[in-house]
Amino acid sequence: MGLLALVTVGMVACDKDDPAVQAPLEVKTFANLPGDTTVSFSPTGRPLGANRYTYFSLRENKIITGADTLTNKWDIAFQQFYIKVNGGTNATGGGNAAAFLANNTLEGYTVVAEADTTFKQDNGASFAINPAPGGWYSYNSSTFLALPIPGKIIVVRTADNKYAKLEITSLYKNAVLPAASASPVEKARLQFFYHFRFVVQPNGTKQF
Amino acid sequence: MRKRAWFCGLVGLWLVVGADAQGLTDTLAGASDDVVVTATRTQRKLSNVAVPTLIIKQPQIEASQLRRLGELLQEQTGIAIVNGSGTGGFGGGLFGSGAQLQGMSPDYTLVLINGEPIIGRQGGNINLSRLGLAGIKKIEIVKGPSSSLYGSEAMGGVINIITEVPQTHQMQASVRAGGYGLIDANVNGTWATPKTKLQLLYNRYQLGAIDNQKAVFGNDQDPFGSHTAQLQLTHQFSPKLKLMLYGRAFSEASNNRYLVADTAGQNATVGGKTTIKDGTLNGVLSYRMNAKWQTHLRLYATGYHSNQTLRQEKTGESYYYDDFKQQFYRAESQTDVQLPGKNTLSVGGGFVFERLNTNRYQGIRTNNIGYAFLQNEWRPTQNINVIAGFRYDANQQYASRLSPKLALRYSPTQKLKLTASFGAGFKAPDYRQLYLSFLNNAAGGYSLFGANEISLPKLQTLQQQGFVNTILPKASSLGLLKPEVSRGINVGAHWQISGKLSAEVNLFNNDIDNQIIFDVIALRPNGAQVFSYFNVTRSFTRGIEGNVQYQLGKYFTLSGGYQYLQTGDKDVLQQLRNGNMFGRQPGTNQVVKLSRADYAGLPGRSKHMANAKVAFQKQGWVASLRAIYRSSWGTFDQDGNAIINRPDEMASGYTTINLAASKQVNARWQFSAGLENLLNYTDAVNLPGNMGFNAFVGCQFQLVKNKKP
Repeated sequence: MGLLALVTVGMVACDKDDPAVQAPLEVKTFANLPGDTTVSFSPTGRPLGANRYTYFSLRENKIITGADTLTNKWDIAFQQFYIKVNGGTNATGGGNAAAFLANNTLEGYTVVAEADTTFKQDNGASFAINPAPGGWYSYNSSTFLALPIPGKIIVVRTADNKYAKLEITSLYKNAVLPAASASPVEKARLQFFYHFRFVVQPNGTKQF
Repeated sequence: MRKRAWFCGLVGLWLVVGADAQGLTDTLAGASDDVVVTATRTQRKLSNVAVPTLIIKQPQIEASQLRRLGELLQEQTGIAIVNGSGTGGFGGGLFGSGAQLQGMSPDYTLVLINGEPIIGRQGGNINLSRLGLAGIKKIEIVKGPSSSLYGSEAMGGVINIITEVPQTHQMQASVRAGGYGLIDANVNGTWATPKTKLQLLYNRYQLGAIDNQKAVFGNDQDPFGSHTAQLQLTHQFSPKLKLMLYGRAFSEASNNRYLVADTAGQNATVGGKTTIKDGTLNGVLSYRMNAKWQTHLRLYATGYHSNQTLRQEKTGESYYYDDFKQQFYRAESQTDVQLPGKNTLSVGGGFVFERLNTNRYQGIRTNNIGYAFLQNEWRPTQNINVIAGFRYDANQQYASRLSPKLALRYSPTQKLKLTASFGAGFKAPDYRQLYLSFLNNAAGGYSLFGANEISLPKLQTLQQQGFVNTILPKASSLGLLKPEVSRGINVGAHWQISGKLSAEVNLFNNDIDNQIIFDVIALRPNGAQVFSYFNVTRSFTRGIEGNVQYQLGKYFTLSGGYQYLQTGDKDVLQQLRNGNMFGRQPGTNQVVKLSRADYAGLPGRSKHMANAKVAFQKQGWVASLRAIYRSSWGTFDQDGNAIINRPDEMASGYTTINLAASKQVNARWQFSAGLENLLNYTDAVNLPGNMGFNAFVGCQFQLVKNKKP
């Protein structure tokens, strides 16, 4: 597989017929995206959000709000442990975005070698990115802390059919993990502040 | 109703009969006089036993001046006192800590009193603070799997507490007071005639709050106190017929206070009480037909009840309520026969009825277990014995299990013993894995079902009702849970180098399969997950343990022990080999691929554990100095990969030094004093129940009527 990927890279480089070394794509970051942060607690103390997705455009590196959330201006949205893309029957923007989870570092993932069918969209209860613990994040029921699993990256086809890769780096405010001794309330209040790094390939190819 | 009548009959029968765990004694000469019963379920000299066995005798317990079982076990080679697997949620002394043997979780340590199991596992654990050290003759610890004799839970090892059979008429009272509000008081009365021996014991133990973390609201360990009453009666009806009765009643209460979130998300205090009660009646009737044939009939009834009630202190609203009642009844028979050809056959079987009534699950749960075991010991010559045996456990609630065992001993000389053993262990799925039915209807809430509460057809019904939207492929493998199983190999040697010096070493390897974890089986319309339990993970523990003992002059005994341990999750190792395991570097948060060397094994396991002890005894003085070392161990994941791979995911290693001394000033009075944790090592986060430096004083008064009846 690795060999095949290398060969593909080589061929594409030849096809491009561009001897000049391309400027590496910029790794962008976004900090403290509120992914339905805790606003109240259930009678048993379970943290509750407002049940609201926060919509994000990878192309423009900004949060999309208001009527724009009903367009294909957004690519990906976050609500607690749920991540949805602007594609499929659940999508509000009518885009054709899709995504899947890959095992790699952000830098190590250099080409989308997976078949197009690997990309999934959100249809009903079938999510492109599994919201269960052990998928893209792990949850420790002793410390009440949620952590993105290192080496899991989300490969995205954006709503306008470009390719992007994204690594979630933290789920806590200012990317500081609450102390293990902090109360569950403190931990919950600092939770669901998404931090991520991502790369978009604007030219429509699958290379990063 | 039928069951109750049946049980009353059983109790009636058992009040008439009853007995002890002694079988036919072996005729083999041994270098040691110590007799051990736990290793084979028959009385054997320690020097002839083929599995790793440790005996802690009463004088050792007395010299240490320790009061609770956990404290004593912590000072033994290769035993760590740690939390069980399920420590999440509310603790406050309810779950406590248990004994890890050969790196196996306390979930896999079976704890017995006079051969009968203690029940009331919470979070996988038998809380060792429930067990005091008064009135104990000895504690036998067999390491490695012993399910071929004891069934479920005997995977990592068996700890058997054997109570004292009195030899004198005696009244004894003792009291001890120490730092952290420690009070330990005992009243012990014994009455002995050649045929009948009776012991009555009462213990009060109480300990104040341990709060090494003053900045954080609440205690590291809440104050608690317990009462224990114990009765033991033996009667020799005739040279052939003997009865033993044992009873125990225990009650512990602690006051809890926590900081939680109220419905507005504000910090709020919650207060309440946790109570734990257990009661036991045990009768053993032993009939020795002749020198070659002996039969025991054992009847056992025990109950456990825990309750935790917490309220919001400001509003008085109920915050948490948990009530857990468990009952366990057992009838068992064992016959030991000496057969021609130098064989001793032990054959037996029994029936267990278990009942569970708790607000955690819906309704009352029961289980019936039937089992049979067979063991043969073959002694072709004086210096070889071979033990082969198996046990079959069948029941209604989870898959049945056959547990084999093979053990060999070869003594090339009187002074050297070589042993090798193979055994299988198993642990039945616990109640939450079978019966939990947790439906969180709050928005985005998840559901968790015990394996016996959900099935594919049930999920399909839930789907028709609209509760479940998508059934995931994993659901097709729902079914009866299999017990968690282990295979253990032990190879060891014991060398009596001289009359004063002895050494032993044991290599061990345990492979654990079918470990139970939960996984997602379906999704609800809002995308929330529905979980159930599956037999998934596989792990191993392996290492080497060594002990040395030396008699220095007339008054001193020096001893030392060491265990080296490696553990790991086999699936994690596979992911590491495949290059699919990543970690985040501390500080930079950079994601890097991990290698085998980065993996620190299963959490809660220390690579190195060691102890060194000096004991002194002269003219009524008894003293001991003990140093216990435990190297660093994994606590919890910080970087999301669910494994221990960074320094900040480890607790620091530490050393505890304890000193105790006592003086018998005359026939009636004994005074004692001690200093514990001389280095004042505390770790409020990882060792919340550990006291800092503290001192104690105590005295004991006794009236002895006749020395030897």
